[in-house]
Amino acid sequence: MTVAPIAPVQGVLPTSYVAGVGTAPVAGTDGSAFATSLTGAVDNLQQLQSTSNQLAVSAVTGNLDDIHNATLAATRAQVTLELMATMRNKGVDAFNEIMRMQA
Amino acid sequence: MTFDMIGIAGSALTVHRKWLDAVSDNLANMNNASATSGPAFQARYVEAAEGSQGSGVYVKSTQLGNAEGRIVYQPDHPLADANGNVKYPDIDLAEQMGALIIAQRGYQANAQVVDRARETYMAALEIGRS
Repeated sequence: MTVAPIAPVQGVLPTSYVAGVGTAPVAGTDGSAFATSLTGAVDNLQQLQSTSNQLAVSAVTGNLDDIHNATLAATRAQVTLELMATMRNKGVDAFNEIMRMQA
Repeated sequence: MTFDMIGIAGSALTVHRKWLDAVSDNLANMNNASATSGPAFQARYVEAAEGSQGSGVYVKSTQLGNAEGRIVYQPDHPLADANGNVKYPDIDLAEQMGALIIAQRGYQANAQVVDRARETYMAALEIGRS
């Protein structure tokens, strides 16, 4: 899985109140990069979990040669879920931090 | 592949599982007597090879052992030939037991790798979580 880097925070537009603040805004993206990568990660996680579920069903119905394939898929799905949750929490944290900003 | 350490250890688990299967097959057929005119049971050996670009290990092929077997004098055996000989597979019990232990330990070691890999990834996710 490749997780795209989090897009830079949009540059602050210059204000006319204080001269010289934010006169050189950082070139921002359209702001959808983080959402896109998060959606991609969710899709990937969903795939891993469905693989894990299929293997678990095969294991209990006796159609699986290698038991460890089922447990490995479960482990992989679990670690990916943790990664997903962590990334989402970090994103929400950053958002909340920005929302708390006051002039 | 995501979390490659787990995938590599998984390939090794598969190889060791196949090795254990081969050893158990050899041990199961170790005492098969056969007529001297036909082939004896041939021991099965797995040939492991490394995967490309560090992707782990895989079973390249299985090789069969000696079909000559051991000639044993057992004149009262139903399959004995005119000279009173029968054929037994050329399988060394001690050697197979040694392989059994090595294969089992290898499997356990790679199962440990999976656990350690999971712990490592989880530790990475804890970074920065106050």
